[in-house]
Amino acid sequence: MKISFTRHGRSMLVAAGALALAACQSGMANMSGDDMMAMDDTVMVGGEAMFPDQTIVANAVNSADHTTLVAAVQAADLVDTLNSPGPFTVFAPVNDAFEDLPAGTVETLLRPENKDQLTAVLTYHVVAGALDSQALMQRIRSGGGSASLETVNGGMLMVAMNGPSNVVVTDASGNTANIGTYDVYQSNGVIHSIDTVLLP
Amino acid sequence: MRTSSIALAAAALLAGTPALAQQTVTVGGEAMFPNQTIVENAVNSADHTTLVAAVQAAGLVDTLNSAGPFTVFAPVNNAFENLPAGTVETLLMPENQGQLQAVLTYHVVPGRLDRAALAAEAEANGGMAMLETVQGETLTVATNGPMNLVVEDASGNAANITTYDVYQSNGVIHVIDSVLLP
Repeated sequence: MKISFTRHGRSMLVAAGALALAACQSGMANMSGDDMMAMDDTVMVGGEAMFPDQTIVANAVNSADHTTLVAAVQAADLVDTLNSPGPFTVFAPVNDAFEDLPAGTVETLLRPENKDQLTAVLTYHVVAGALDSQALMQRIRSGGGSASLETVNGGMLMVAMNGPSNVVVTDASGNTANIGTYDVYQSNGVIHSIDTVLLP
Repeated sequence: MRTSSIALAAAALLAGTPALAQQTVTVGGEAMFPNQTIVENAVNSADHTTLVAAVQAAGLVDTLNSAGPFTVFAPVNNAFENLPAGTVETLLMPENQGQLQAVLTYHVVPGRLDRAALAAEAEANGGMAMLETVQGETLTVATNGPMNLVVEDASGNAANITTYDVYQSNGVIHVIDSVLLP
């Protein structure tokens, strides 16, 4: 069951609960526990619902905040990779993040002759395994306040707490990204939407 | 050994250092100190220069330095840049100060509502909490999946919180990625 008017996962869960209750009362209960779980995990990104039973790319193409990232993934021929079983953790920069790069950077990276460089930048945002916020915080605790993550690019990212309630991601040059949306679960991993492009 | 480490921990706790260190959040590349006011901290964030300029132009510095406490949803510079061209310049004109004040105070809620308080209020109200702002109109805070809270304005524009719980001496700041309009 897919609900296209899902606004926010948690509120939908409650609404779904009320709906299920109403349906029970009218003898039409047909909602399974899986449906409820799927809705609870459905997160809104860029104005659209990201469905946990779809792949990273299938969801990301719907986010109005990630059109630059999606265009870059397509230009780098990484669509098949990010649609593969993975699982992957993707730190997905929003359009504003790409706009904050020095003028001309995105245009340069998107040129066919720079495809390797583009691929390196994009795969630097991808970590093998599905690391949700709980897993990231566990690694940060185990690491005594920070944890290094090896990316698909081969370079390392560092995650750390910023105060009691935030996880930040820092690249090799010390650029720090905040996470605007945590735990966008996908069929082949998890996305965290970030506000800064990370550079290897 | 055990006693002395407990005594040490208690002493450190009394001195307030662990709590202070844990609650000092970095925003816009700078540490936001929980023993300073909203404005004293915000002026140091490289990501909030537009907001700070607007607060100054609106004559709201004294208000946001007052005892409060206040909860401030603080849009980053990129959020202002995403408004239609000319919006910020128009709002900053002296003759539009009333309108600028309305927009800014729409981002301020009386009380110190940190993430836990906002989440609890949302949970208690079916996933959405209605907050009356200092401007007078209402913002909605809703859960977005298990880990996120979003803030929605009267028109349904949704802001993500990119940094939660920036504690201040007179309240708490949550950094957001969209400007909310009353």
